[in-house]
Amino acid sequence: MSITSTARFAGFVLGAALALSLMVGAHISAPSGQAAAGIVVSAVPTGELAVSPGGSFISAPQLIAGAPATRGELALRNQTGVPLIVDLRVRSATGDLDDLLRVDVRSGDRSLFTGTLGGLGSGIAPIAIRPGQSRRLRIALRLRSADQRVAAGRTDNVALIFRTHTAERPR
Amino acid sequence: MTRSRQILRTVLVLGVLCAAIGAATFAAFSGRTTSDSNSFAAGTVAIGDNDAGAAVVSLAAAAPGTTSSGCITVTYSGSLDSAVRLYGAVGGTLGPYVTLTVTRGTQTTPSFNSCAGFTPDATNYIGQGAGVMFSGALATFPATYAAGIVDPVTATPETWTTGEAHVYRLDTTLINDNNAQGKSATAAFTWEAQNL
Repeated sequence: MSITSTARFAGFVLGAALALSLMVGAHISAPSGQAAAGIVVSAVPTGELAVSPGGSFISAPQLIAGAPATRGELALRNQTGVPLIVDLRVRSATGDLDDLLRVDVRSGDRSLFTGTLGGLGSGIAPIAIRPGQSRRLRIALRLRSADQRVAAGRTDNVALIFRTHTAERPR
Repeated sequence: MTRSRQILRTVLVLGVLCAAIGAATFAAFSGRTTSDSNSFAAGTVAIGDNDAGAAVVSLAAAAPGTTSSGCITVTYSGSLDSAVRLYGAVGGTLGPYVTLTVTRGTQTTPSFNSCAGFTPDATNYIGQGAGVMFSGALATFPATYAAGIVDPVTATPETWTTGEAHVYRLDTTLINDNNAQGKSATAAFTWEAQNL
């Protein structure tokens, strides 16, 4: 094989490798070009329960599957004169992320809910709050890696609705 | 067959033909846009307070000049902007001998029925002092929404939005009148929201 032929062959191999790498690179980067999912979560106070911060406390317009969880925190304060048992529900504007978004709700070290956003519609493990006292809720949201393509472009606006009733015996 | 049905059928036939042509011509490429997840939901009007069923003020075996005060926090949790009015149901015969003052304001950390840290609104709504919305005999308190005290008492009712809360201080005093002896009364106060 002549030097010219060798150079041509090497050039062909290099060119083919470059083309292949471009194709693979384009394939890998495609998902990031998709529209991300987005969600806004807000909390609605009740007469019995002061909620801080009021309004939206999680705003995640670029939810990416497999990324670290998006987190938010709320303080609930019992402003009645009696112990309260507190539960929450969600009111979803579109329901588009109900099956895709994983939600974790905690109060201190206690897990109150783990599941899908849609599952949160069935409520959390209730918490007791004494008169004048506060409890903090920590909420984490994440998309599973497998759901990026399905979730792309979906958005929702979710309100947390708190329900209270008086506790017979404070915990 | 009516004309409108005829037109509809023609459109459907054309639609099927066009779809078939499109699929045959552009089999190698596809593009799609979908308008899904169309949803319809009614808004809500919801208002609550922090009394948990307890009385905000109470006069028991009261002598002339006895007072009772308490504060109540009212919170709007509906999604539709609303106007709020205050009215009440007064029973018994002591109403004419009890003065009632309702003052709107704020409280940093409300705890029923404490008025610790209560700050009246700066506005003199009815010329009776800062934040005062009503001052008069309990018996004269409006009994219906239509006659209710518009919150706040200004030319334009305040628009209550989601999460909005106000604190109301209720001050009651038994006046010095012999005719009040042995009488009693009850009162239930209502804050009613109606969307604008």
